[in-house]
Parts: sequence; structure tokens; C-alpha cells
Amino acid sequence: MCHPLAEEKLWAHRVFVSFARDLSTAGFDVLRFDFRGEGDSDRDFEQTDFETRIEDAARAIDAVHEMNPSISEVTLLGLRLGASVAAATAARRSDVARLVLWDPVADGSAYMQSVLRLNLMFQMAQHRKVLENRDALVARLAEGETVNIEGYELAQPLFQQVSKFRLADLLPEFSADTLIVQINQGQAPMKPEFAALAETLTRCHVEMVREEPFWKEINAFYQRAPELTRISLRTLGAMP
Amino acid sequence: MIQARCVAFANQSGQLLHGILHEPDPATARAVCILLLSPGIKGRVGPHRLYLKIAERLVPLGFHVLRFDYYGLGDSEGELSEIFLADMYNSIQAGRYIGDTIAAMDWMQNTLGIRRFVGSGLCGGSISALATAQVDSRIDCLLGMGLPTVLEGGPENWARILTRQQIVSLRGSYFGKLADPKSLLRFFRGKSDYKVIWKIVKQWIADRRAAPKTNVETPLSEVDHTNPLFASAFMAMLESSRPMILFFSGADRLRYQFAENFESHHEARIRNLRHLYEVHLIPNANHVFSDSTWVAELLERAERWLNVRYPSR
Repeated sequence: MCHPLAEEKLWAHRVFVSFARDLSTAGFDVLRFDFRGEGDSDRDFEQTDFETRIEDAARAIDAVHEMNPSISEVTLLGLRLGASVAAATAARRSDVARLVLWDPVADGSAYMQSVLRLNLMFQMAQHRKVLENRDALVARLAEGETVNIEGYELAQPLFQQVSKFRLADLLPEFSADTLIVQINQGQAPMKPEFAALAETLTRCHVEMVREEPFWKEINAFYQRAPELTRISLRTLGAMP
Repeated sequence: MIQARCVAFANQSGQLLHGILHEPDPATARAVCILLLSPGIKGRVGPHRLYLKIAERLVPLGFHVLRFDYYGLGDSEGELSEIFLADMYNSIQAGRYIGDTIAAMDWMQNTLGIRRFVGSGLCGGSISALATAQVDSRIDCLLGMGLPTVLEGGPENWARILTRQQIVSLRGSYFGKLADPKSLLRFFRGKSDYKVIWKIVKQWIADRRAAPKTNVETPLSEVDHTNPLFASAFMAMLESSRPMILFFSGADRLRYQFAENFESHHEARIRNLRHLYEVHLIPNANHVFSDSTWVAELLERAERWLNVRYPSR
């Protein structure tokens, strides 16, 4: 299971734990782990990037095989940027049977802009105005400095690599079954980028579920995502 | 990277709690463990991995650091029944995790023979430390970060828990908006926080009527939102001569709440014990100390304080 980025990981943690336990009860081996620079793992956040996350996910697959050689089939599941890491990892390996992508980041550039927006919001809270706009932040990253995102120091490699990421470029390289789950708070149309993937790729399908955005601060105390769990377990063959 | 290992121990209900123990070099170990107690949903790592940053600074000084997930949170067993985050935070303030904290100390004592603990944590973690200290004297002192005095209201109830000083400091900003067309439009479209505005106006009128000015505090009517356990737990620390260092963020309300909802109401009782606790306000810092300079200041002062309290061998 590939967790999302930075504070999103912490907010979503309990949903990950609950889902992992549901899978375990259904008879699956499950491995949750922290990418380097996040959670309990080694390294500082600024020392990591998109490539290190792909390496870590690949290492996790190897570790699963080492711990239990009888495992014949591996599914990669991820949330938000973790889903993008899962897709990128699967595209480079031949031993991933299935992908489950929870609200994946489809356009890395847009996602990184939303990450930078968190710094702008921080500036507003601190100074009641924006002292450095997005262009200035990007320039600072290009000069080798870091930008603080909710306490995490974002560095240029992560920013640049994620900005180049396009889910649509990757999935055609992946031939196994892929489930994309679009998470909506209310009624919403399917995102065009997901619809295009489902139309182009015969083994990729998209499901829509209604859940709160549990990867950020919300009023609800979200310990599990029932609809998301149901759809995902069904896809994995754990329930009818 | 400092030495760390995964640990697990059961609480009194038999639920398995998962954590990370950071151990110092045996040659420098001070036989004191800093308990970094979970603030709540952010678990044993804390926001932006604050607890790892603290551990990395304090373990080389010879302290053990234990950080773990309370039942129902993080990786630990158990389920919580709350539907709203604010209710979950309030349950922490009500002492929900005293038992888990005692279980952690029992485990440390039985496994490593450590009997002295620094109760610490951010927000919910610091109140858990304080509440546990009231019933367990193994907590030798308190290193609190953003210690909450008032129960959680949730963002929708922000106006309800505003302190007097916050109202005064917001007044200039809100009155300035009277000349801003965008703000006026927002006001007439029903998008403003009318409860906050009403409190500011009400306080302004009260201040105007209070002339000639006196030094007498005008108590707010919201004192009943103070955590009912707070005063007795805090006094228990003072009356047993256990020192405390409290860090507050300049940009959040907790320092004001501590002063207005606790200190001003217990002035006579704490007067002769005031030397037992230090309060440090980190200017401009936000609630989670997300800037590295704020963390550096916090750690520098914490280290100095701990070194005085626990001289190295």
C-alpha cells in the first residue's frame, strides 16, 4: 500500500490501517510501509523525490516475496500521489498483477501547484499577504533552495519529477487490471482524464465513490472509508 | 540517524499499542525517558514528523524517547466511537489516554528499568501527559507544546472560544475591513463570521463603557469551556514540586487561554509556586511549529531546560 504525500499521509493513515486489516481478514497478506523521508522511515523529506518513492515501492514488493515466497500475485494500491507512485512502479515491473488507484494524481503539474498553494496559504496566515508568489517559489526551488509545505521542506527533484508525471502516459505500459477510484464528496461527473483512460484501455475501469476527502483536515473523524473499502474489496475478489 | 526500534505493548484492555523506541548510547544514557505522546490523529510521528525531529535532538543527549500510538489511532489496535474530530480531541482532553500512557511507562520500567519520565507532546499529547502526571508520579516533569486549557470547539465554534486578548487583537483588523469593498461585499453576502464580529463589537462596547479604566480583569463568560480536569492536574504538578516548561505558539490562542482561563482564575494558588513552571512564547509560530526556525528555538530551550533538570553523567 503506497501512502500519499506528507500531511495527506497522516490524515489518511487510519483509513489505510482499517483497509489493511479488512484485507487481512479476507485472507490477503498486506504490507504497509513509509516511504523514506516520511512517517517513521529514515532520511529527511527534502532528501527524497518521486524516484526514491518508486524505488521504495519496488523494494517493498521484493520484501514481500522475501518474507513470503509463496505469494504469487502482487497488487499495488495507492492513494493520491501514492497511487501515482504505484502506477509508475507497476509500469517498470512485470510482477504486478493488479493496480488499485484511489483518487490518483493524474496531472502531476497541477498537483504540485496545489502543493505550492499550501505555502501561499501559510504566507497569508503569517503576514496577511503573499510575499512570494508561485513563480518566486518555483525560482527558489530551481536555485536549490527548499520551500516549506506544512513543515516539510520541498526540494526541486520532487517538485520537478512530480510535475512531469502524467498518469495517462504510464498506464498504457501496464497490461494488467487497473481500477481507478474517483472519490467525490457529492454528485460529480467522471474526471475527463479518467474517462479517457477507461475508454482507451480495455483492462482499466473507473469507479466513482462518495467519501469525504479524508486525506486532509475535515470535521469528520474518518477511521474507515466504507464505500471505497467495499469497491476495492470487490475488485480484489475479497467479497461478492 | 539515531538508533530506533519498533515496540509493541498491551494496554490494560489488552489492546496492542505500537510505537518506536529511540535508545541512546549506553555510555551517555541518563535513565530518563521522554514520552512523546500522540497529539491525536497525527499519531506517533506528529505533524511534519515533529516527534522525529525532537527525538533526533534529545536522544544523543542521553535520553530514551518513546513515541507510540494510542488505542484506536495510528497503527494501534482498538476502534474509537467518535464521529467528529472535535469530539475525539475532547475525549483526549478528558483523559482518555491516561491508561495507555501508564501502560507505556509500565512497559519501559519492566523492560528497561526506567522509572523517570518526562511527559511531553504537542497539544493533545501534552494534556495527556499532564492528566497522567496527576495520577502517576513517575512523570517527573512536563515539557508541553501547545498545552490546551479549553475544550475543542471545532472551527465552526471558533467564536465561542475566542479569548479576550484575541478579540482585542482582531479588532483592528476587522475594523480596517470596513473600508474594504471586498470585505463589505462578503459581509452583505452572508459570508462573514458574524459570531466573531458580534464578539468584537460587544467587547469594544464593553471596553468603552468601562471608563475610567481600571486594572481589574473583565472576566469573559466563556470560562465554562475550560477543561474541568485542567486546574486540578496542573495544581497537582505544582504542589508536588514537579517542574514544567510550556511552549506556546505566538499565532494561536492557546497561550491566551492558559493565561485567561487558568492563570488569572488561580492566581492566589499559584503565586508561591510560579517558579516551578516556565512559559515560552515562540513569536509568530503556528500551532504545529511548522517552520524549522521555530522548531530550532523550541529544541534549544528544551535542551537547556532538560540539561539543568537532568545533568549528564
